[in-house]
Amino acid sequence: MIAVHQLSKTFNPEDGAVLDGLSFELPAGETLAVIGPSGCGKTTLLYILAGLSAASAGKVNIGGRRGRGHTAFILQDFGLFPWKTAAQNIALALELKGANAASRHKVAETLLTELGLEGLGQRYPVQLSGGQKQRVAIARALATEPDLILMDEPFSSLDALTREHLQNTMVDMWQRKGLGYIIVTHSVEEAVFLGRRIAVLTDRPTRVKALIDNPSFGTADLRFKNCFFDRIREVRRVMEG
Amino acid sequence: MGVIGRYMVAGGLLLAVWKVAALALSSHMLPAPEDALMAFGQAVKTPTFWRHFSASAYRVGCAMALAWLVAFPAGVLLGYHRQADRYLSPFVFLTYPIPKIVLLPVFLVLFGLGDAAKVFMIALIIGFQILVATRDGVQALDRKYVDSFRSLSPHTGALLRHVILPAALPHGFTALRIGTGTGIAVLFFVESFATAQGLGYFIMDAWGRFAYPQMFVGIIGMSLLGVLFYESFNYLERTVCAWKGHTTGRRDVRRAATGDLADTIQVYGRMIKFSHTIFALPFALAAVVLAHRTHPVTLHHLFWILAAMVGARSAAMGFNRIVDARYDRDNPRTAAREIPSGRLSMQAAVIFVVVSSLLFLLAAAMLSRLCLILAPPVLAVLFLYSYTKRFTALSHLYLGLAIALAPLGAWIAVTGRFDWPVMILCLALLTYIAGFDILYACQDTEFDRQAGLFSIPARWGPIVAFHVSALLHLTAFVFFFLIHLVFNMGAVYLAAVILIGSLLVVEHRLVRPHDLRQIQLAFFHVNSLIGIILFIGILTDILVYQ
Repeated sequence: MIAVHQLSKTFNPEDGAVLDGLSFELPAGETLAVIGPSGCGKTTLLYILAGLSAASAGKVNIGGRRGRGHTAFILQDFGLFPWKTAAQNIALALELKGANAASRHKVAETLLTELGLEGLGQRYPVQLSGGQKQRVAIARALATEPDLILMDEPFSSLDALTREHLQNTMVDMWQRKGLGYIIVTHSVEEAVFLGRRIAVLTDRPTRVKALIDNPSFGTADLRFKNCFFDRIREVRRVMEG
Repeated sequence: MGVIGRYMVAGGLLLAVWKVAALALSSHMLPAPEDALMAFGQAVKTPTFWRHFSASAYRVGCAMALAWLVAFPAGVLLGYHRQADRYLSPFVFLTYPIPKIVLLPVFLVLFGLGDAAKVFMIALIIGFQILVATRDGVQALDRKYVDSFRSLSPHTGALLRHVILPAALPHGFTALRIGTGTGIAVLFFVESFATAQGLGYFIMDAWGRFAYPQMFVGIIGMSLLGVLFYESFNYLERTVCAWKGHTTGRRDVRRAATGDLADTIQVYGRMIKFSHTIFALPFALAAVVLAHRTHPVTLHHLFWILAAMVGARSAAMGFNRIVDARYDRDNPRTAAREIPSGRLSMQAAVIFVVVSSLLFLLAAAMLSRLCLILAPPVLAVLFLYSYTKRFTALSHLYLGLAIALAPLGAWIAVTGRFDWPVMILCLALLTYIAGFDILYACQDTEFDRQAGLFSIPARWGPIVAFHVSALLHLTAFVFFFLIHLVFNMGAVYLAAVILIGSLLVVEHRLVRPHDLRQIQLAFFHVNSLIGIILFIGILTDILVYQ
């Protein structure tokens, strides 16, 4: 269960509030796509949810198996450390917890296989394609055993085909593990494909304009179905209206 | 082709050039390469050579280790810790352009004539480079890496180990590799007196005995020492920063990587640009040495000439930054300078300029009445430079003129009058600085055009600028040679002139009108060498022949 209550954030009083009394709730294991005009504070919201930035006012409650839920963050670029191999990047969270080399190796290998990256563990990020890099980033997030994954426009720099493959991977992960995520995106199609709920944000100061239910999320071949396009039109209308 | 193969080819070419030069000169000063190599072959069988070699290796090795141990962590600290950077980097900014070598007498008094003073001298010079490169490298690191890591762990210690250090290491290593050249050059200088051990002594001793092949044994030994250190650092970097060696065939990735590197280099260069002025110091000292032949120089002279140099340079530098703050703010390359970035207030900068100007006037007053009378006009000339690029593309020549006042001033300070011969030295400096400044201005071509500032590259394009620069450097070379005739210098100076000529050629080979990537690092080192070689050339020539 994730509860965001009256969340506000102001960086600089002269510029006004970035987030202003933003509230929403999300049941555990649910997926949420956040969409809104550029510069509206979507990234700021994610930073606060990830605990990287403090809110000026309001409350964030991320329920977890052990007290405060643990989040994992996936960024568009720069997520992977260029000086670590794919396997080292994936196992970094375990290394920080003090896990031994053997267990780290095992987890990295398992996740590499799960994400279709067999044999690429010893490569450095610079030797991987954009899609492979984001797969490694997803694997690294999974290795932290998070309660919630936060993604900041993770696929926007990828070509269309790779992007759809990775979107499928995310839905697949959700179906197999029941792992919830919040994805920030500027693509309506991506929001409708990846969010069981879609939060449409207003321009600054940012509030939730509408929380749209998307019951067809996760159905097979969603991209070819009429309900997919209907939902896209609905989201567009909300955004423009 | 492997490393060994490349060294073989380069070595072979070098030997060929050497042979031709030796034939052309047919002087004892430059023995044929085969003679020098034979002598070297003999020398490596003697324990004496290895005693000198190991003494030098020990000094450079200790200095490099010391510089790294102090400067690398300090650079990481300044780069990472904004608060520390705010308070400490003004000291770095202010002291970086001072040629640390002039502190050698102080070091000798403080640390004695033994190895300590030499090691500290070399370590200080290299340490600064490591510090600046590391700091800029860490600062250039995208904050998103830090955010990405902090989402995994809140511990600063882990952040340093997993993110900051791995990102800083390549910058530190680059500085270390470049520092090898500088380190060996300084080693030669510090070993050329007050010691009976080391390759520097070996060379000077052979020189004094006219044993030219022996001299070249020492020179080859020093070159080997340099290669040895350089390759060791290369090897270390490849081991420690294995990730750096990998690239893909993907062009976008590679372009992004070189973009980062170019940024880093530009950040590096930002601080040293104003050290243009300091290239004048060896010329001023050269004027002092030349004047000393007819008018004995006292410590009083030397001290106040140095004080005048420091005062004038600081005043001119500070004034320029104040006047240019408006443009610096708009130019992405210079926007991070102290004043535009707000790290130094306008008021503090003005006080700095006033105090520096007063120091200059005081120094002039201590030197002579004539110096004091001339000092205010000199300040006016220096300050006017900051405005020249707003109305004339000849600002490069004006910069040369302003800097060329240094040897002129030093000459007048010592002799108490103006003499025509010293103008040759001034003109050499003028043309050399102007040529260099034109190349340097190529970096700002686009910005200058947009901002309506005048420079030769902005007005006629980089290709014309390169030709003009080459012409100026050719003229500079002629003046360097004329010094030989006008001041009746000997063969040692002639050798220095040849070396300077080749460095100028190297300089023009390092950069191309559309490929300025080498400009900062390589240039600064080539350029700082030219002044030092001139000074050492004149000094030793006079010591040897007069």
